[in-house]
Amino acid sequence: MVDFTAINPTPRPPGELEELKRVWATPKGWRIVTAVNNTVIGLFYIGVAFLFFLMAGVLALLMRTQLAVGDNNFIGQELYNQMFTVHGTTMMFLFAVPAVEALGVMLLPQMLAARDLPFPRLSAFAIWAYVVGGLVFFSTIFYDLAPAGGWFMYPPLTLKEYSPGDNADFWLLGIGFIEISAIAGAVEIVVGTLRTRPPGMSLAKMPIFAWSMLIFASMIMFAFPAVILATMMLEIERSFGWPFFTAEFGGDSLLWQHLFWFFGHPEVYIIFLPAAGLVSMMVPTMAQTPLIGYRLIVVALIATGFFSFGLWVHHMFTTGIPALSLAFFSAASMAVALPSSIQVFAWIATIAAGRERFRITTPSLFILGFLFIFTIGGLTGVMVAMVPFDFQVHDTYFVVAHFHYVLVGGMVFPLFATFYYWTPMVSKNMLSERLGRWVFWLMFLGFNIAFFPMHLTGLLGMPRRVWTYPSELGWDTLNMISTVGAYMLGAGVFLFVFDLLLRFRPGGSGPENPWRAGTLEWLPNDVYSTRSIPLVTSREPIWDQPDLAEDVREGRYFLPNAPTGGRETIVTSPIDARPQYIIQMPGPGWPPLLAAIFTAAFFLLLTIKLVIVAAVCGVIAVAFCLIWTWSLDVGPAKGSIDIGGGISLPTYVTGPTSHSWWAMVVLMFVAASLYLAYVFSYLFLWTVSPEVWSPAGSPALPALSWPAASTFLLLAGATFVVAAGRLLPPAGKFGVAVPLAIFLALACLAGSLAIEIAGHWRTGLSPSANAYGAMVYLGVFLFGQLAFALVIIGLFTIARHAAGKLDRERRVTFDNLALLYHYTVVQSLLGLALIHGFPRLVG
Amino acid sequence: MKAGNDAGPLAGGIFYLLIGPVIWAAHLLLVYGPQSALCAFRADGMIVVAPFVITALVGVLTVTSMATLALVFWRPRQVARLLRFDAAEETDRRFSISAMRLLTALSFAGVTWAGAVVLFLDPCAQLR
Ligand code: HEM
Repeated sequence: MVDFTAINPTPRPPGELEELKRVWATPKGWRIVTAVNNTVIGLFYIGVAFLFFLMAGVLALLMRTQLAVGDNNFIGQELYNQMFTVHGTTMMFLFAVPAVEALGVMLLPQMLAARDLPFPRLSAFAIWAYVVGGLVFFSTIFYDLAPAGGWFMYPPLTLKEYSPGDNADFWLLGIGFIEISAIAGAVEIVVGTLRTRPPGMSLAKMPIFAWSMLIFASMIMFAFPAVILATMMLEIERSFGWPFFTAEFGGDSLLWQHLFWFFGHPEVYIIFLPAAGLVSMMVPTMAQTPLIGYRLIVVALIATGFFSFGLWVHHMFTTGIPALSLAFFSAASMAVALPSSIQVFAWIATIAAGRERFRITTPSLFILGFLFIFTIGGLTGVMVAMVPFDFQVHDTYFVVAHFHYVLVGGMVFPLFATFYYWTPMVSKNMLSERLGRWVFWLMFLGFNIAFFPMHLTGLLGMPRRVWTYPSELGWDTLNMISTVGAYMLGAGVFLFVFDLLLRFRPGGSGPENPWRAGTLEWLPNDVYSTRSIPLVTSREPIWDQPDLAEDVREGRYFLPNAPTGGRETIVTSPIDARPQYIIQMPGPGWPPLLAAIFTAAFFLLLTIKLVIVAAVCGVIAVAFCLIWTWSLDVGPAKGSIDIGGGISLPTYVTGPTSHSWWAMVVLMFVAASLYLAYVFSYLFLWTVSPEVWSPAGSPALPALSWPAASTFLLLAGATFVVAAGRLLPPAGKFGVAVPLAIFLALACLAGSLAIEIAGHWRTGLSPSANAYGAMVYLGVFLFGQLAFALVIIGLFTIARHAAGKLDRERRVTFDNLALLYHYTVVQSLLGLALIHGFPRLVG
Repeated sequence: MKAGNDAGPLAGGIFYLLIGPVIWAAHLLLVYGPQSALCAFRADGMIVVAPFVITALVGVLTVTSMATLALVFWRPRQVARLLRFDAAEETDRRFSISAMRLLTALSFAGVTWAGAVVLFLDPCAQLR
């Protein structure tokens, strides 16, 4: 039942609106780079992602020019190899994933009527890291420094012997680093969708786009760690010769393929699901009717997200895996078509059931184009999911056609629909509907003319990734048609950019709700998001409550002001969305920007082996992170505040309700998936090369007293952390026992790590001797990474306590330290059992 | 609207919704892992198990997973109680039950599809 006690009395006291404007004001002039508000950085994020699309698109046109006729010499072989690698890598890592993540940052708070996402500075950090890292990566193509191993960088081709120089390292360190920025964004999105929904918006009322972003971010949490581990391993092998992928020493290049595709296949759904979510938002508006099959679509999104993790082997059908294993994955690949088709049917049904005739606008044209292209891509997908067919077309242009149909159809077309549809939310003018038709038709026809013939060139046997081909093979005409189509597509994009320059004017919103949509992002908006945060009682609140816009604007709903005097928003419970507390958020600042620049510098300088300078940059980056986090835990000083409707909420909470606890748990999931990928790799290499394993092929393991000592120290450390938590004094008091306990806990951790390293070293085991040694020391390395993070957080915690900013109540920093510490203990105990137990068990 | 917590624990809620796909994933892992490892060992000559053992293993795992999924589909409320999951409103409760059932049905299709291949293929044969 709707409970209208939530409504505040109006008119509101004077000065409230001005206060909101002041608190949320965007920094002026060049200080705009310090902005952290989602409307500013979200727009910036999507702008940069689009820039990468344009740049990678130019590379595509150059490649198509080279391929237009046979025996062409326009671009040489080496440059062509670099071009397809940079094109593919940029499109996947620097355009597609960031673009949808940007839309999440930009649109989610508006759709959820939140003032901002819960960690604005984290978003800013992620974005700047991506901008700097991405631009440097892309520019390598200009200096002959670009990687040339294809976007999936298979070893052995990418090992030092076959890819000398720093080119491959730019991929490994650059992309590995951008993945970390994607994970930071994912943390933001998971916590944002689950905790900053408006009161009353239970999960069952959440907009489909928010569902799709929640699933998107969860998939990133589980998929990206696999490729981060893989890039780490390949970089270590290239730099230090630990043979993870070299068959001669018990490694296996197939391991890379498993890890890469365990990430890579979900990746394509990571790209597609948010786009599908956007379509599910636009179709109901254009049909002026609620989405048919909301529940089915939620189910389809979840099922696709889940099933997509069980398909990775279909990229490896031709690698010699037994037929039965292939069949499991072939079945799963076909099964994933079911949820995708559920969505397609739900959209068609909504279009058919519209209260009005489906309005043909530019966004609807792009949606119809998407349905057409994506369905074809899906059908060729089912074709290549059949093992015998895949054997025929593997590595041919058929596959190039297939994945462009799903990627361009499934992501680029919905993205253009999005541009046209949501522009009025962020720009004073809408984009031109008249030019929009031209853009659509040029892109739609151009795309099909470019890519449909590639199915045929593929079936005729033209392999992918060839810089040229002999003219007499009969591939010329089809290739020429493809090139003409590509230029048409390019002309469409060019026209769009022209329109954008002409009309797009950010910094205010255009006509209010021009498409007559039903969801919250179309409420009157400003830098602070909506004036007051509505009570949500249905899925299309604007359609169901005709006065909603007016009531929200007049401040009749929750939090119509800025009672803490700073940036804040309401945090609600994750399932039912009941108000729980007020989160106080940081405003603009330099630290995220500077931290991002120095983090990027650290990784990039490492690539060109300037180790000392890199290390200095790393230290500076950490320093800026610490400066930034120093101001985050604001403490309970503001007490409780009234948000309207008779609800009073605390402004500070700790423990499992707090958003920072949630962020730490999400990070622990990320760390756990990385570790599981490690465990998988260890066991995988053992099944491939048991002969190099201890004790037969490597020195015997250290005596059991070594891991026993490590275990003892880990458990002792955990006890010290628990003790420190109990010993935290009340506010204003300093207890020397707390720093002491934390210090002892850190010492135990360091001791445990040292014992583990010394134990293996004394047996004579070397990481570069064989794959077994490499895996053992990699385990130690992963432990060391966590220990390093804990030492920094631990010292930071001690410093906060010493500064009087950490006590029994104000303890978020300590809680985070404790969570990560206990996680590290569990992971390391598991690691000790694996490393010291497994070879004894099977040896 | 009142301030406060959810009716049930979140972890229980997530697991409730995802129980079908989780069983599907467990099935895939459990048939693929041992089958590929046992075939690799056979090729190495390290451990040689008879082919029918692999077939039987996959078959038994498939039938067990199918039965579990059917049970979950049939008794959604019991599963919810077991996981201490509850929604505050009747509409949300109905939403979660039907979403869970649909996901379970899709997972059932996935498990059957993947498991059925064992009827047609030799467990360790290579395609070339
Ligand atoms: C906009 C028009 C586009 C054109 C004309 C185009 C064209 C091409 C061409 C010519 C290749 C090289 C084929 C080869 O030599 O094997 C290629 C590869 C690729 N493209 Fe595109 N592409 C376009 C858009 C996209 C988009 C939007 C994405 C992803 C979101 C994408 C992802 C890829 C990938 C992953 C590869 C494979 C690179 C590799 O083999 O390592 N492309 N594309």
